[in-house]
Amino acid sequence: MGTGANPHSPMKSSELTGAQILRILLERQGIATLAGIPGGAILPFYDALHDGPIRHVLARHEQGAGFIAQGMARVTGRAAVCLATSGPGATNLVTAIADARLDSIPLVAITAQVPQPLIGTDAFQEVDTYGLTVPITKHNFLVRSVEELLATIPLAFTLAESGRPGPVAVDIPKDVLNARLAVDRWPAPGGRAATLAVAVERIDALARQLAAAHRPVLYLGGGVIAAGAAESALALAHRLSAPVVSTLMALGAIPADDPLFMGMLGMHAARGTNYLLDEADLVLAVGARFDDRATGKVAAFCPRAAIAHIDIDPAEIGKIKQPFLSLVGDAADILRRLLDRLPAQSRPSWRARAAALRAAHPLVHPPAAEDPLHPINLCRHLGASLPDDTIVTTDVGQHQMWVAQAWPFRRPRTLLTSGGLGTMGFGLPAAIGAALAAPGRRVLCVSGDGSILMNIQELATLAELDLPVAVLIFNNGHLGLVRQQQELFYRQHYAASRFQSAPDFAALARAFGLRGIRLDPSGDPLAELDAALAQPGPCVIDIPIHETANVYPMVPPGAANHQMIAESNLQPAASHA
Amino acid sequence: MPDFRSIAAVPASPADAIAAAPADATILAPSAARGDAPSTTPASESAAATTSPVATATPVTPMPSRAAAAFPQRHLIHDTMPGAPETKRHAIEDTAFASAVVLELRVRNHPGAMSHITGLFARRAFNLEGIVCVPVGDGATSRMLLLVAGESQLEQIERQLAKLYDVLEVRHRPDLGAAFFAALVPDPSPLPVV
Repeated sequence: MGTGANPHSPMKSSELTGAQILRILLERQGIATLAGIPGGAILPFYDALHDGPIRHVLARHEQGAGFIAQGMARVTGRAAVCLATSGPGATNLVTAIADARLDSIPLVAITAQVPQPLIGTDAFQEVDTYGLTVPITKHNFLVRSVEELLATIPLAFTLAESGRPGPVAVDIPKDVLNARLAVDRWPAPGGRAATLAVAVERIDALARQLAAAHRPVLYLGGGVIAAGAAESALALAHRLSAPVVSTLMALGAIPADDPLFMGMLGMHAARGTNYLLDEADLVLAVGARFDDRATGKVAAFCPRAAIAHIDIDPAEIGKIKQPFLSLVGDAADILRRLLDRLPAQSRPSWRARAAALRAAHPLVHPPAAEDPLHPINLCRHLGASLPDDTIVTTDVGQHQMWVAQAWPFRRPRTLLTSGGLGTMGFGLPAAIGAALAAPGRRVLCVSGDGSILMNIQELATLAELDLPVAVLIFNNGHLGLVRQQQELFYRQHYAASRFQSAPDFAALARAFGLRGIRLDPSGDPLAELDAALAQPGPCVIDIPIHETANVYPMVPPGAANHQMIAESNLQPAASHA
Repeated sequence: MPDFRSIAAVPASPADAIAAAPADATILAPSAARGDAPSTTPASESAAATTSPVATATPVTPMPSRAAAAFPQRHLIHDTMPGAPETKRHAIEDTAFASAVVLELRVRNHPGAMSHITGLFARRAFNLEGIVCVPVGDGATSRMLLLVAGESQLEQIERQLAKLYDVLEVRHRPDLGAAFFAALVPDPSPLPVV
């Protein structure tokens, strides 16, 4: 093991420190930008960064750094890197790592650790980062020697990007960063490893079943976007004349205005979408994991359908719902080969049935002329006026579901949202990461007055970077989705869901050095909004919305998807309020 | 990175490879890995056991067994106090594991591998009744035997295990059962008080 603990002793010209080796390995991975916050244990690496071309984005909280990296990864599909020091730096990263795990986002989280002789002594800023990250990573490492770095760093990227993507944590003790090694051969960079091709017989079997089905539905999950299979999925839907439902994570894979697209399924689906699934005789799940927010009560999910399941993760097959046919592999490859074997099918009555269900059950909301700031009207207005390549990040809550229901996403990777973990505070730093990874594109962070405060400090990062991120705060003075559940399921006991005081978000933005606007509902708020978005650079737009507006329809937790609560059921109750 | 691993039932390798385990093998007595099992083992104690390094020279402190009727948990804790009896006892209620299955894993041998594997059982609510782990060959890999209850979840358990980077192979050991584990930790076994 390298012992060069003193970074100031003279160095042989051929030797590099662990920190320098790490920097070079990251450069070789193609990492141009990473996000983090320095601190004691990781200082040797920051010293090495000082000499190199990698751009370091200084977040204001490590969770912000984690979500900035996630924003970059979600836009590009490639593993991005976040950095934190030992102890609190590492614990602050934990939420962002867990979030990446649940949404299968490739992330390499690098943390420094106290020097190895101090491990286990309760040293200053010591925490068992390895132990903390075991259950929330795809894999994790504690690097015990400088030599190990050469194998571990490329492997971390390979693991993060291969198969089902996910986060990998690498904990590096400070003495490893300071140790010296002469490197004469550099390892090949890590990357996405090839996946075994599915046997042709299974693809043939699926093609036969799809051709024989009367009422097929495609159920797309985030894996479709991760695999780059969106185009093939759209082609398959049209080849089969099969309506498509999407999870939150797959929004954008199919253009929202496609005649076969039925929108999101599950808890906040349009009623017709869930009804259609009740009528389907074959459901082909692609890169979807039968999450409870999508399926509702599992026993009642797609009761008339045989399930076929395409997924890259063999453990997803039969985890929740047993398919009659499963294909484990790369969705893009499987769908392409499937398309080669499938003749076009018209299914006019099934298409008509889907269209009828969609038309019969539109989202219920006031007309735009009457209430332009109703969130559904807002999302439609913005979706219609902004370019298709606009990237929208959300936080978590009512605003997230309104965006999912009403924003007309047309391209993959244009919606970045915390789906699995449901992390409030995701939106702003993810928007910063997205803007870093997609220069020239407009990025919107749609947030709520509850969520935005959970990583508000990243407004300082945004001001420093001057990126084209607009933060839209749907402000109802509440933790809205909590208030909604208390209204519907907890006898209107609004415990701790109403904010007794609220900051002036426009003034707060100005305090950070950003443009800040509060829309005036009595004037022409949409014109004001458009004008604010037309100006370049970052801004915060505070949008007052009705505090009683709820997300409908809603499937009560644990209920079957056809047991939806709809706006109309509640109108009598609402009028008494 | 290996993309596929054998999850098929294969002919059992000689059982004596494990039976001849060196005396320093890490051996955990059966204990409930989950709070929903009828065990009084505190969660923190299970967690502490999971962080034991694989196949190190330190035998793991025997954990309280589920023979709660004869030796209630409370007594076991008191046993470690000054003035306690000279021995503490372990017992396995064989009937509790009548339907248990033995899985054999080949795993990378490094500190932390055990933590990944036992953590998986706890996190996914699978019941883990026993573990034996010994290094193989030059020590780069270890062979691990898991006594797993709850056959209904067996396929899911195998698939989740096979996904772990440190797990190189998963097999069934139909030739082994709960009795094998019971023989490793005889009942009653006089053990010196630590």
